Amino acid sequence: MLLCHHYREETSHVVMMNHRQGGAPSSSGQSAGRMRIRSIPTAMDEKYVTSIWELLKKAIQEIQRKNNSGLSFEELYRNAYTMVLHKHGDRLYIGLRGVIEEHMRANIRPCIEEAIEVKMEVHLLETLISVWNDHTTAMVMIRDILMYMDRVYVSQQKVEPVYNLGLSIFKDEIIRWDLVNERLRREMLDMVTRERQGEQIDWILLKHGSTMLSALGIYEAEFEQHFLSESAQYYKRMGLEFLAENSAAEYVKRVETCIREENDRAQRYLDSSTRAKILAVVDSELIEVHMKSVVEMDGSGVSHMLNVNLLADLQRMYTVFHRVTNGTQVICQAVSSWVRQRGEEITHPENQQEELKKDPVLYITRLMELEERSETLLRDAFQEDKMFKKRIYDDFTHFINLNNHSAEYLTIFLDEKLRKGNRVLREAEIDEAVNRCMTLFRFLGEKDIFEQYYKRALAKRLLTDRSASDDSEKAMVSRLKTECGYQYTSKLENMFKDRELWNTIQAGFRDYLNVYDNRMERDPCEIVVRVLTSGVWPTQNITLTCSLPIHAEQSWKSFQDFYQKKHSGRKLTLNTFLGNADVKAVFFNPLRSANDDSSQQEEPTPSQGPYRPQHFTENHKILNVSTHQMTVLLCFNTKNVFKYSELGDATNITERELQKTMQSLSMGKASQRILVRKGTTAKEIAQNDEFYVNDSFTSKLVRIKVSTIADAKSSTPKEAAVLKERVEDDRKHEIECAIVRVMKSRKRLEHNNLLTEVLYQTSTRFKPTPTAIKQRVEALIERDYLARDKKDPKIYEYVS
Amino acid sequence: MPPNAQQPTTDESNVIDDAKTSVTVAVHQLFERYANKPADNLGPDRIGPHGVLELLEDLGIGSTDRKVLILAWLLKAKIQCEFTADEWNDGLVALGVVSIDDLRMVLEKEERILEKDASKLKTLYRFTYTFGKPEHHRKMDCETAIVYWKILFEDRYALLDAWTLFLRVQQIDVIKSDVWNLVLEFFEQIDANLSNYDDEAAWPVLLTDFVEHIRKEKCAVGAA
Repeated sequence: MLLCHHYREETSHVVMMNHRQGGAPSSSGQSAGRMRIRSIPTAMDEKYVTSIWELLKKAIQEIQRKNNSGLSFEELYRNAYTMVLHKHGDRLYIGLRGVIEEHMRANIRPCIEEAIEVKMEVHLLETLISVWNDHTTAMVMIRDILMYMDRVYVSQQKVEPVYNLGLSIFKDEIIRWDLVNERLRREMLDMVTRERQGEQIDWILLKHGSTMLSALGIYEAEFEQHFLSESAQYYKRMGLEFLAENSAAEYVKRVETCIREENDRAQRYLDSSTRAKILAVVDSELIEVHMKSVVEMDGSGVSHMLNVNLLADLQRMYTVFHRVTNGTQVICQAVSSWVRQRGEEITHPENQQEELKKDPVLYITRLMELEERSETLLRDAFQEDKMFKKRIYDDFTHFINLNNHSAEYLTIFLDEKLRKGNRVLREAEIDEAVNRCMTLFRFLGEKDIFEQYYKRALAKRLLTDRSASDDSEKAMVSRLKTECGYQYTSKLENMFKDRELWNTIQAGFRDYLNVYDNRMERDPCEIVVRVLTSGVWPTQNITLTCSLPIHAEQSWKSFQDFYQKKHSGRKLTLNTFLGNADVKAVFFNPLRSANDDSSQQEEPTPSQGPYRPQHFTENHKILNVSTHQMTVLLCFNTKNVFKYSELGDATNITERELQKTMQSLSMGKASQRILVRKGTTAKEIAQNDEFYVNDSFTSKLVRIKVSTIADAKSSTPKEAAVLKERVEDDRKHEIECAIVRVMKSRKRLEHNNLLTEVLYQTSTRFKPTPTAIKQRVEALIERDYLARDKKDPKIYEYVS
Repeated sequence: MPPNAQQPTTDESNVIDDAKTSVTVAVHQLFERYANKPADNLGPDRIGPHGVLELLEDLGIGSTDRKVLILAWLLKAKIQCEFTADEWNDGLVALGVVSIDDLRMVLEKEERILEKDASKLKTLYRFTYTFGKPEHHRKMDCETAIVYWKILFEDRYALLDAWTLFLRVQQIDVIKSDVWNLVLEFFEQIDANLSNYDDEAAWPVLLTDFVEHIRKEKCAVGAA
């Protein structure tokens, strides 16, 4: 190749001339560096200029013909330099342009025409690339020769530099001639289409094509624009095809593939700016347009995927749809409605399955299963997306609160886990269950109802010693405390405190008996008393106490004395609805003599003394009975036969309770029938029904537990109503406390702000309606806690 | 004015005193005319219901006329159909009334003022509650309230009839003072077609229920 030689401009033109003619070197050293002698360019004559130009022209043409090897770079450079220096830059430039144009027209165009004629597949592209390469190579060399002109003339005249000039001319004379650009484009786009359809193509050619067009500055206009719009059309079609032929999962897979391919394609042979744009096209045509249809596709859409638990497919869909705005929102919507449907199947009072209505434990179990499933989905398919999380949370809140038994059922479920039952659960299992329950607990809107039911269940467990594990019980309570605050669980904790004292008090009582009281020696009726702090335990209010049998009464008095000594300010009331007794009973089983044909037992009559059958054997039993049952039974020590009404008078047990007691003693299973009811077998016990001891009573066991009429698992409507009332009263109180708290600190507050504050304050327990709050506000105004502002009745003031 | 006439001279003060005493005397005489009626049996220091009736006849105003309330309000009366001597004397002297005609004019004037002066009306309105309910009770019973509303508002507010009906149908026994107070605001602010009623505002529950009721009725009528 040619050498690159750069003359220094300072060299005087005149000096050079002399040098050429072989004249004696003048004081070139002088001028060469130290002093700048401005040389007055001598006018060059026309002939000389022309000759220089002709020289250059020929040279350029040779370069273009790829015959540059014989040329001297130095000479050509010098010539060009001379021309420009003598202010003939114009001529040079214009001449240059002319030469290039000529070359394009005379030499290149025919090539192209031929290529087009041939009509072979990529012939035009190939040919263009080839001539392009040649051209650019030539232009580089030409530029090097004419570098002085570039530096001086071009920048002065503000015209295009040499290389760029070459490019422009190529663009105008070749590409933009005779629809070459369109043919070229067509070839390129067809290649792309073929590749999309699976053919192998010479993509390097395409790469060169892109590069060429980019260099020419026409990439976007000539190619990219059309590429994008044709691709959009293509994918529009493909989208519909995919949709028609495939399941949702398959569709998503296809989309994934297309994205991968286009990405790859763009990286291989398109300009880097196109990559993002083509992917945007794919996203738009394949995802945005069809995402809703895909999600909702019958039989294979999100709903189906959720039903069959196709986590991988869901995850894929999520990832792919994530590419477009609102893509995941569509999925979220579908997931949400699915969750809501599943939820409502369990909870909606009208829609729920029959079995769930009767079985609280199953109800809760199903809810837990659904909850777990949702967690898995969130984790494995939806990458813990916050939007999904919140949506599902809202859905759960919605359908759990659709059913106003949810709180109660949850407590029943917990009761089953925490109670000693048939299944012995390990502590780990209990804790697991408690965890799951707490998750559901958070969704409850009416947490105060839960508290009431839980308190009741807990009380029952504690009083009947049926807790499976103390630790688990306490753990549960502390969980509730963490969730809802100290106030919520204070009563529960107080129950535990009371219980812890029972043993201590009992021990103290025993000591007391030994030291102080000899009553126990006289009438040994051992009594164990559990003291409950009133208001803490959810026991019924005792209005009437039943009249205990004498011995029991004495023992009770004894305990009372002991307790009063210890705690003089406190009042003890015996709750006879709870508690049990071991009663020694002697049954005088009649012996049947051979002559005795009567199948019925002889009945005792009231007039006789203590009744004994004619022949009997003594049968000693110990009966474990409730307090009321004990009271009733001991009556029969005084009389053989009692009317129902007489028993009522003697024992002072309330009517309903007495019914239950008598039923349990006389109408149960044969092994439980301590008493006999004369005459009738009607369900209801009438006032005049008569009872006597069932002396024929036998049992394999020596110690028999006589059961009481058990309470139903879930509350009767009446009980529920009582509880509800209690909750309502509590709520009224809560709201008022909240209002006072808020007003005390704010002094003056506008109505709506007060509502907001109160709602916030009560939110951990329940959600009051604005009307309810308003009512409480008015009540407080009545009682002069609050007043309305005289000028603006919307503002309340705190009255201190 | 003479230099040492900052204080009224004995002469002038006498004149003022005279004027004062003559007013007091006239007022007292007026009191005597209506007080101590045997039919009332309340003693010499009070005008009782019969006396009041006669007074009203003389004034030419009906017993359900608003001016009766206005009179009571101006005199700061405590008990309905009664005026104590103090209430009468202090009130009339303050108003500068010496004769029945004067009283009549004052009442008419006051009535006209009240039509325009909202805050004065508010005072009269609030006074009515305390005045209209039995003295030691905390609340006014509903029927009394309805009567007083009618007296005070007459036909000014289109919603009054609907309100009255609502109260009776709902069998509301008692009107609390808070509700009473806000009823005035309600009638003053809210259009007959409830267009500017704000659900979020702080109206008492009874009023919100009333609005609900009206709306439901409208719907029913519209549907029918």
